[in-house]
Amino acid sequence: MPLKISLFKKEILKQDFRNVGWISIVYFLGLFFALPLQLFMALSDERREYYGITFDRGLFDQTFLFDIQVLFLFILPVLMAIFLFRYLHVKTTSDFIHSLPIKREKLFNHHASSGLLMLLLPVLVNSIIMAVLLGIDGASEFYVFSDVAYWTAVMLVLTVFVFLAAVLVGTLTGLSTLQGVLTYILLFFPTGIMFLGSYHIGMFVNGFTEGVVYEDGIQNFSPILDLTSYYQPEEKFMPISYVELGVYIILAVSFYVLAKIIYKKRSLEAASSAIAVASLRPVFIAGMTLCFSVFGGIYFGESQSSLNWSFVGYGMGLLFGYCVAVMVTKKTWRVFNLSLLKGLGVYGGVTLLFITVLPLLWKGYESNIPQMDEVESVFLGNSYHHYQDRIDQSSGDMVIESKEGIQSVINLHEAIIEQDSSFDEGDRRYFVAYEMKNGDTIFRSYEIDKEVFAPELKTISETKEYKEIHYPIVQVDPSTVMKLEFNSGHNKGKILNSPEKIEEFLNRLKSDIFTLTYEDMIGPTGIPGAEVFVHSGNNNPPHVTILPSFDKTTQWLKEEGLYDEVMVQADDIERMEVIPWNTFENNDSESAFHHARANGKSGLTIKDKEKIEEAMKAKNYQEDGDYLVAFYFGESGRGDFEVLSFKKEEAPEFIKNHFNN
Amino acid sequence: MIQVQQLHKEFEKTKVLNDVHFHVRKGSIYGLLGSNGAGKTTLLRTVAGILKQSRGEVSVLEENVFENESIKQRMVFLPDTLYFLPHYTVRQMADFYKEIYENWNEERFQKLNELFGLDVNKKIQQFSKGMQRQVAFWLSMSVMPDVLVLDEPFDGLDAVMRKKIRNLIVQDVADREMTVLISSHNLREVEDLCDFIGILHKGEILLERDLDDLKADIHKIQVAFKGDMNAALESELNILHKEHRGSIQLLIVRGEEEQVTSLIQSHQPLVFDRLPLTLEEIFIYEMGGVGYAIENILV
Repeated sequence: MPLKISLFKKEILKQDFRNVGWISIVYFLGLFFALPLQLFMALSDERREYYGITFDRGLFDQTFLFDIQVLFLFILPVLMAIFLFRYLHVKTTSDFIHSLPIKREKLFNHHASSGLLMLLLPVLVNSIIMAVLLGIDGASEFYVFSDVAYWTAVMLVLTVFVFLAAVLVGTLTGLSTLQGVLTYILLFFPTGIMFLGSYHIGMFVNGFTEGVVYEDGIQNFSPILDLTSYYQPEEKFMPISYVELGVYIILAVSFYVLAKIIYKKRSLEAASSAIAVASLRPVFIAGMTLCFSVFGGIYFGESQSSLNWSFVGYGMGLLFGYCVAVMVTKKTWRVFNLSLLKGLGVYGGVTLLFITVLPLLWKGYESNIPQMDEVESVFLGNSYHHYQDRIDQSSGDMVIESKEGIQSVINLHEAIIEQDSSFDEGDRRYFVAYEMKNGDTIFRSYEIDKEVFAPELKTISETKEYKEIHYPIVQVDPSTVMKLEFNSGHNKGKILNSPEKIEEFLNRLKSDIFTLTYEDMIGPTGIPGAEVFVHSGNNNPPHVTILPSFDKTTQWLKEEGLYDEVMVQADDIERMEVIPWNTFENNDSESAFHHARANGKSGLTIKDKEKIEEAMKAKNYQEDGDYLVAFYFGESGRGDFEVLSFKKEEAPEFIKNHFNN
Repeated sequence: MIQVQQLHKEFEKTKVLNDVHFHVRKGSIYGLLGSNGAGKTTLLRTVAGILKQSRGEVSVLEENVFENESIKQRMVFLPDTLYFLPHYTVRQMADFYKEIYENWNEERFQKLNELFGLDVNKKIQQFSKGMQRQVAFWLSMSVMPDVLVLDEPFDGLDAVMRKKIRNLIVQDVADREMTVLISSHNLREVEDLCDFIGILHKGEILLERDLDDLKADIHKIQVAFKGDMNAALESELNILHKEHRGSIQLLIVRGEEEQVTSLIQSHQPLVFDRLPLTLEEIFIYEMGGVGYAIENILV
């Protein structure tokens, strides 16, 4: 009998229940509201037959108020830990409990297990209810038994994980409020620090692709983000994989063990001091200083795109983070004295050293250019996201494999490293992925000014391979094409079905595309004539815009008598309007024109068809012309118009003359 | 019974206890006196096994007390600020103690109920401060502890209740040889209760005395001689303090009573009276140069 008593103190569990039983009940009610109650509501909702929604998310579906579930899952276990271990943070309670003849380890085990029991019961009871409710007519439309099992597993594991994380934090701090705050910081920390770190490196290391870090599951390092960022196009909905569940279990166990060790060693006089374990205080201050400093640097550096501003940001962040950390540890805001300065020197020095050294470690990365003969293929696009899409859709051949192609990308890469710095602003983002012969992949991304690197970009862009990638239409086999659809969007259109015609057209289009120059590609000449879609049974038909400069194609259209039917011409245009443009507005020409109109600017209006025809063939600069030229279609003169932009020297004479006078 | 040696305790970098030694014998009542901030509470919390000493040894019932379940089973610590589990009635609290302490004596609990006359089914937090202290004693005594550690135990008690509790303690000390350690900032509060007194000042024990010895050892005497006092006599007596009131001299003398009496008689005094000496006075004279330290505890 005495043995039994000394192993298991029923009264402590009873006391815990009296103390925090309400949390258990609230958790139960919350989940009950989200699951069984919602099921009943959905079942009795007669409208559901009309919706025809497919329920493929099991018990994590919106039908079962996923958001509410998440809310309860991440709040109540933390509350439970705070209230259960509150006695550690209040001197009188702590003295009372620890004067009793119970070892700390036993106390800890008792409280932790009563907390777990009170948290797991609500989950389990709801699971059982949901399993039983499967017997109801219609319930299986919403979920099946394996959904209940999966839901139970995820909820149990995460509940335990969050609770034990909060318990661990509770043993480290002496303030219950701080316990709550720090727990959530802990739950976001790994993701946050990876984000800050990679962003920081990316600011100073030219070519560093932060995108790879962000897109490759950085959110999985925070359980909250892990569970909530589930809107991925996955076939089977699974916010957390079984492997991840395993990781959470291992982490939860280590939290438990760690918390117990810390509790046993904890000085009880630390009740109500912010950081109870004295040796952790410097870690806390250094961490806060570093994080705020990096955040400040990123914020100001990025929003001002300036190195000097980023230094200001690092400095301000450092100062702020350090002061806040000291205020938290001292529990007062009146910390300004000489020793604060001394500490600032030490912590600030360490932080600055770290901030400086981290990007330096990547200097080799910055200057590393793969050797030609080690590269299997290269992808050149705008972003990592773009690259991922390529893999996901596997639509056509999107990589450069020829020697010349690869060499031209390497040349561009070399030029960028020589001339660009990570703080230089550019007008285009380039993302490069080298797939190496040894199976490695090397990613780089740069924001560059395309005029500076025009020679290199020209070489790449004019290769046949690059054009094949960027104009997928040229890869289409004419024999697979069912029809061609011409669409100029202005009451004009045409469908072409004849296989011979299709082949003739496509051949001419290909040769036009293959002879396109780089300048044509970035600044197409003339007003877009028509959009042509190549239908070959694909949901997403490749298409291209036919420009007046496509000589062979337009010639063929004229021969076939289709030109007038298909292409936009001066006759289709009612009038044009020319407005001078200050390109520092940093807009594309269309939004710039909208903006100018909204501001009541008006310019030269022309209705003369000859002049319109001349203007239609002028060279267009999407982002940096001197004149905005809007072509209005049809009689109405409302909304429907196309905007081009001309440079002064290349604009038609009548425009130059008008604005020069 | 309670043995403290070379005890040091620091909170972070602040020294609270510095090389503290003291010893409480089995069956005795030890009064630990000290002004506010002297470190009494810290010392008691360490003795109760709540705080871990930075250095030194704290043993109770011949064993190291920290995290020692079996020793804590036989010891009860009553802090200066009482704590009861929230919303618990006396009965619920008793059930809690009953499970935690192996030596819980239900019979004693019932008996004490008659003495205190409080409602066992009332929530403790609804009682007045003084009543709460009675409840704390009631529960503590029902545990039948071998060692009782009390931090400022008489705060908020009226004279009648104070006497009741004092009797309770004394009775257990007499019957079961219970050992008691009491802290106080007021000498008068404990002088009629304690056998031993220790004075803690700025984290150090200034002195430790057996009260009986102390009272037997120091005497207040009025004497008058023909002419001045003999220099030989003056050097033979251990005089702590000397005052003239006309021809009468007031002496505070240390030494065995008989010896002092015979020595003075041998010089044929005109007047020779022995006056009663309060504990307060004893301390003031005893402490001599460090007297400032105890002024505060003698209020």
